[in-house]
Amino acid sequence: MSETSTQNPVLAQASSQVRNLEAMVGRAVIGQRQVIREVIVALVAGGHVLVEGLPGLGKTLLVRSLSKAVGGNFSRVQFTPDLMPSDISGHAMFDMKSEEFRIRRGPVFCNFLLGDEINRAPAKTQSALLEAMQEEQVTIEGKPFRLEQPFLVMATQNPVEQEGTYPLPQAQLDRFLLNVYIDYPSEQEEGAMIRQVTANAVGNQLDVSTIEAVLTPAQVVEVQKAAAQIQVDEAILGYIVRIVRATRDWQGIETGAGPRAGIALLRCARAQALANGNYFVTPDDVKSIAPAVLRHRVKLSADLEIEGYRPDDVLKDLLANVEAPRQ
Amino acid sequence: MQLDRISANVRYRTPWEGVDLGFVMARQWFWPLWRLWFVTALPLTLLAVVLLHQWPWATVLMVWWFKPLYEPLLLFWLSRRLFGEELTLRETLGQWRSVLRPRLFSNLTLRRLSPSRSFFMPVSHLEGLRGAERRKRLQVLSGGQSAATWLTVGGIHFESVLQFSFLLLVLFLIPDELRPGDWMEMLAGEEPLVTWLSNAFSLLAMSVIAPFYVAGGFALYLTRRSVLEAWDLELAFRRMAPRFKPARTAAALLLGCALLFGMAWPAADTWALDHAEAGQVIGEVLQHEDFGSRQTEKYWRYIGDSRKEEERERPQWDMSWVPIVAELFEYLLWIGAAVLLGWLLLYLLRLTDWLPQRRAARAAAAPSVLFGLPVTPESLPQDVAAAVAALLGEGRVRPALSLLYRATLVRLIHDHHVRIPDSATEGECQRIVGGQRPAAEGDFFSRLTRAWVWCAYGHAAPAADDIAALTASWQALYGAPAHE
Repeated sequence: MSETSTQNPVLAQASSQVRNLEAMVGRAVIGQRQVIREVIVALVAGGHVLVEGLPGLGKTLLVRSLSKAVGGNFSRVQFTPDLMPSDISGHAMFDMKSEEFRIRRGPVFCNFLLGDEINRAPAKTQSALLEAMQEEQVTIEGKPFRLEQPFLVMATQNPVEQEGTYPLPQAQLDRFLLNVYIDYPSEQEEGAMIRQVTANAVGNQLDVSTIEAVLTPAQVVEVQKAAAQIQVDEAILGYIVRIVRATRDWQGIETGAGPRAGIALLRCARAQALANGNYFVTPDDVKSIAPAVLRHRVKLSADLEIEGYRPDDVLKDLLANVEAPRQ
Repeated sequence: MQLDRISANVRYRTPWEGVDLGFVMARQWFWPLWRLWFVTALPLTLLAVVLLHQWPWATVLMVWWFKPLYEPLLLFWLSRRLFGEELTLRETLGQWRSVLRPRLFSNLTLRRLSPSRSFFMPVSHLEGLRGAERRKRLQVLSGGQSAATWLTVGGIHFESVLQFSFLLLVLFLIPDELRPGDWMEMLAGEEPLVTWLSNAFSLLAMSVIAPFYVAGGFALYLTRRSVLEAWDLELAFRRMAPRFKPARTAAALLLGCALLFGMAWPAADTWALDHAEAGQVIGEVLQHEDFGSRQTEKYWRYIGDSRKEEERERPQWDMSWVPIVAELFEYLLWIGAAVLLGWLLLYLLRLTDWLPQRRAARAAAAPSVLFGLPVTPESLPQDVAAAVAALLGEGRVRPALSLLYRATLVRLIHDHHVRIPDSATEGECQRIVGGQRPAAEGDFFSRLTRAWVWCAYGHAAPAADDIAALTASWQALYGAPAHE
């Protein structure tokens, strides 16, 4: 049987690098296989991730591990109601010594940015970050500055405490390539995690010492380019379109996903295929990543929300009813 | 019946006052009555929810229709409580068989929609009368009893008002931001939440109204009987009796003495009235105003020939066949009703998938088209392996693999009853087969899926040897029809 390596060496190498990266991050972040995979898919597809989960489930550890495994810079911003856009992007300050304005770059100038509780900041500040995500550049005092590549924003939202928050509008949610749910780990994983985190540790320091750099930022960019070359059959494109269009007429979904969702789904399916060691996209790649791509792009009808349904419940039903492609 | 133990004040009452008395009783003993109703109605409600959860309207209709099943126990409890006997819930429920059985079938069918149900219930359940006796008794009791009908009409309206009030209360408590659309639209729509909420409130409203309805009907019955049987007078005499107990003894002694002396003395003149004189004396006495007065009432009455013109001229036919035809029609009607009932039951069973054969048949029914591909055995060539080899020989690798993959699915679906949904991807099919079929089959299907996926989506044809090996495996596994 044909294997990736025999088909395309570039893809084979990229696939191997992605799998090494996944394994390396998995050393520090115990369990949460799905979350690690989805964040890596977002990195390979060149997108950003909105993470939803309760505090203390390892979001910071995940980003720090990823950052170290890629050898990139890591920044963290705690979003608060008084956070200003310039606190993220940076600002110009007057240097008394040189008697001229000097640009002081904000935390956004990094490879991996963790925006904690993004919905605690007002819309103006959120927009500053979202502009950086979309344009991959920041404007300070009218002057554009390119951001380093790769650039991955991992913004978190706490689904429980919603008082005094500024929920992201649908249009801004659409900018995130994936919406990842972090759930509680299993009993065994939780035990292993506590053991590992507390071994020879003082205080609350996160231990990422076991993480070695398996990639460089430049190599990540190469992997991203390789993912973009992944072959996509017409039947797969049709499948993606069917899924996205189904969200628009589905019972229980008030607002369906837009065309950007289809594009995102294809990008992620390619990254997923690469992570699975394939040089082409299969329906399984699409279906497995579809919930993460679509869950923040659909708005449930009010009655379902009141009844406590989550987008995943509806999407599961939807995916179980959209005909899979057959040749 | 020990009339002197009655808790209510027995006096002459109009029917409306009777209903009032019933409401007072219902208020007085509301909780025991309500609890009794709920305990009886709840099991049936739960059963209805389980059986008819797909049709919420049918659930509430069933609970409503079976009201004659819960109300007799309330009546039984009331009838005992009114005469001073307080039954516990357990004791009352212990009597359910004897209380409910009389005329249960007709109460649930023919007489279910009777507007005087509350009034007739005591006759059936407390007096235990049946047939002609019951009819005669009802004729006597129900003269001028329109109040029972109005009690039913009022009960229906109050029940509806209560149900809507409960529903609106909940809807008004939902903040505007969370309320989907207009509340009128919600009520008119078919939202499952609203429907079930409405059903729950309907049950609550029924339970609240039932004690008043039953007690109202019972009080009407008591009022009517107290009028006809002069209970108030009877009770008054009973109350007077103890007061005259010493005097009665003395009077008896005196009477005894008088009789003795009477036998000894000759008859006095006063006893010597003959029949004619006595009649005259009686006539004089009856003339007295204490015995009432004579009134003359006038009314119109037709005194001509009561038969119509045509009837008078109509020849006399032999009508002896009419009862036979009527009986025949009656039989036909009963047969028709039985057939209709049977059909309804079957329809219900079919809808709810209760029939085991049907369930099995549905489970066994294999799809003919899956993923847009025909997956019936007829759609396959007679010899799949030979057809695959022929396609390979022509260099058509992809159609050959496609045929092999489809043939495998057909065998799995039809011979081994593996259920594969339309939405299943190749990977999911692989997991389904791996979980349901033996390891050798699962292994073969994994290899085949892998080859197929590479060919279909990766556009990379597998080596001819690989396909030949797969075909050989297929032949070994599925070459002969399975006998499962």
